[in-house]
Amino acid sequence: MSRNARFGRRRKVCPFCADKTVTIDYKDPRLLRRFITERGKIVPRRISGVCAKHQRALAVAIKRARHIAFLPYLATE
Amino acid sequence: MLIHEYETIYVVRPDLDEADSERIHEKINNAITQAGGEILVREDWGRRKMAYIIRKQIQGHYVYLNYVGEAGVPIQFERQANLEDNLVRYITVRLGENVDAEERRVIAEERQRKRAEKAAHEAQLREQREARNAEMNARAERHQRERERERERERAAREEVAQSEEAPAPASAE
Repeated sequence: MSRNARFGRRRKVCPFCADKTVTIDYKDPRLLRRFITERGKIVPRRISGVCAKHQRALAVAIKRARHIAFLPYLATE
Repeated sequence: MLIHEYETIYVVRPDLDEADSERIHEKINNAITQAGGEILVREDWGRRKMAYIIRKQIQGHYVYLNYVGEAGVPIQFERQANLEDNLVRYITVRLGENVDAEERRVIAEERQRKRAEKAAHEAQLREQREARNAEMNARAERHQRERERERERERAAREEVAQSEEAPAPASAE
């Protein structure tokens, strides 16, 4: 509470828990791009607010997508 | 033996001619069916830009397969895929273990039918949007022409006034 009051930050809700219709799929690079940095790194949970369960699924999906070149392993600026 | 459901995406070089890529697709399909697999869905996703360069190519020709078969089927696919130099990437994912092939076939057909419907619907929407745009463009063009005519008329009127002012002046002086 005090943290909220002081920093004005609220507890993020996992976007995949909030919307059950969205499935994490390695074939959907548009969705996955939201969870990688410009450099192509996987965004940590503490930033994106994704729950542990969905973060695991997300990490697998991103790695699969990278393999078939839907996502970059490393993006140059 | 247990029947599983798999999906595979493979990428072939985009710069092959029709006959070469067709030969690869056929070999892949044969590898799956001869191993006892049954292809439920085959989608040609065409050329797509890849996220990074593979074998000096920026695009890849993607093909999606959805099939059911025993565990040996994807192994046979991979053997064939590894033999093929122009097949640059593939990924196989097991979608379901010990599935009912008949049921999966029905579901796959249903899904494909829905996708076709959706595509048709989107095409229709696009057509409507284009028609609307065309109409709006035509209307804007008409307005533009009208404005030009208006300006033309105003200019003509001004000139007329100028002339009439010029003309009576010498008459009154006389």
